[in-house]
Amino acid sequence: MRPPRFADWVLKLLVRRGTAHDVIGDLHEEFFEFQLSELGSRRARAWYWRQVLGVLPRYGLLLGFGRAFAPRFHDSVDGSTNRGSIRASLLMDVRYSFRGLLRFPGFSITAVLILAMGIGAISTVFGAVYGVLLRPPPYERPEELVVVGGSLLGIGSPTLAASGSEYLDYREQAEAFSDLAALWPTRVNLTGGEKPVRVESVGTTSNLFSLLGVSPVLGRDFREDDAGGNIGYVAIISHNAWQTLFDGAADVIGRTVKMDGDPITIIGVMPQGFKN
Amino acid sequence: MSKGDHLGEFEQLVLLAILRLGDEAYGMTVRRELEKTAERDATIGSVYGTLDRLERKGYVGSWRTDPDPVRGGHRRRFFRVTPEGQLALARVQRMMERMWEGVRLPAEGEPVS
Repeated sequence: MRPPRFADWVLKLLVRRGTAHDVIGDLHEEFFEFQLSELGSRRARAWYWRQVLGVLPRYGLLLGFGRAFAPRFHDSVDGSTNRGSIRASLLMDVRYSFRGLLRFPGFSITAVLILAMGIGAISTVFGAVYGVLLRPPPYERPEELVVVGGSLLGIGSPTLAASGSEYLDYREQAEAFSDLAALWPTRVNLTGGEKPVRVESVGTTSNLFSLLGVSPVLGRDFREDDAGGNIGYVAIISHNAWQTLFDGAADVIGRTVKMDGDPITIIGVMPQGFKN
Repeated sequence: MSKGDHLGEFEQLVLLAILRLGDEAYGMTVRRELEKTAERDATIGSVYGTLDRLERKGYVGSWRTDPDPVRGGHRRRFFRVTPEGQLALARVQRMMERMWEGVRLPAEGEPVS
């Protein structure tokens, strides 16, 4: 049984060399000569840690910091007035607080746990809010993207998807847009992989990805002649689908699967993180 | 005498512990002497902090021995009380005697008035 090595490492790291060695020598001597036999190994090691933690407020980084900012700073147990800056006074308060926390470990542990839970909760909420509301979409010039639809206020439908013929009319006649693409989300049964799966799918015009400014990382983008072309239906799959449904296979491009019973050829894979 | 020259209670205890220990006064023995005789559970950090402060005031001096294998190869830092330190202690002792003069505290078992 020996004193905790990590405690010695902490002392050597945070306390100036001469003092660290003096203290370590004394603590080792007392540990082996008295504490092991008086307290037993477990309590002796706890005693050792308590001693090390008692050194840090006086000789650790805090003290070095204090000396850098207030050379006349010192504390005195007889209550004599400390001269020095406001920062030195604040530093003294920090040190006394730290010592107080060491004296009441139960309270300190409770406070730390509550703080940890609060910080964890806030981080989780922020992560969700950021992901949903604040993070910009992974498109080129997202501030210029708009969703065009219709509304039938008379029947209480403030938002309606545009129909196919409306889309064609907008494309021909609307001058406010540099480009227009149509998409219609759906869910399909995909077979041809290890097992059939039901996946989210988006039917789209061939210019969707070029409008968004995003290109597949594998294979190619849609072309105008893909619709009703010689190779039948074509699909570009997400990175996640590539990894989970096709095991990230390098030969996924050109593979034919069935979507609701219809053959469809995979021609591209989107970048990681790109979603519907 | 300036305020900074007065000895705090713990400083007095540390100086007295060094005097009691004589040639065997170093960090560990001073700490254990305080624990045993003064019944003060002091950490090694508070002992060294006080010893360093007393050394800055000129009340103690220190020197280090050769590395000792018993201490993992670390040296021992011994302390002694300087003449100035002894004078400061004597001042405190006389001051306390003056303050105690004429003061009588009830003995154990006597009612407190």
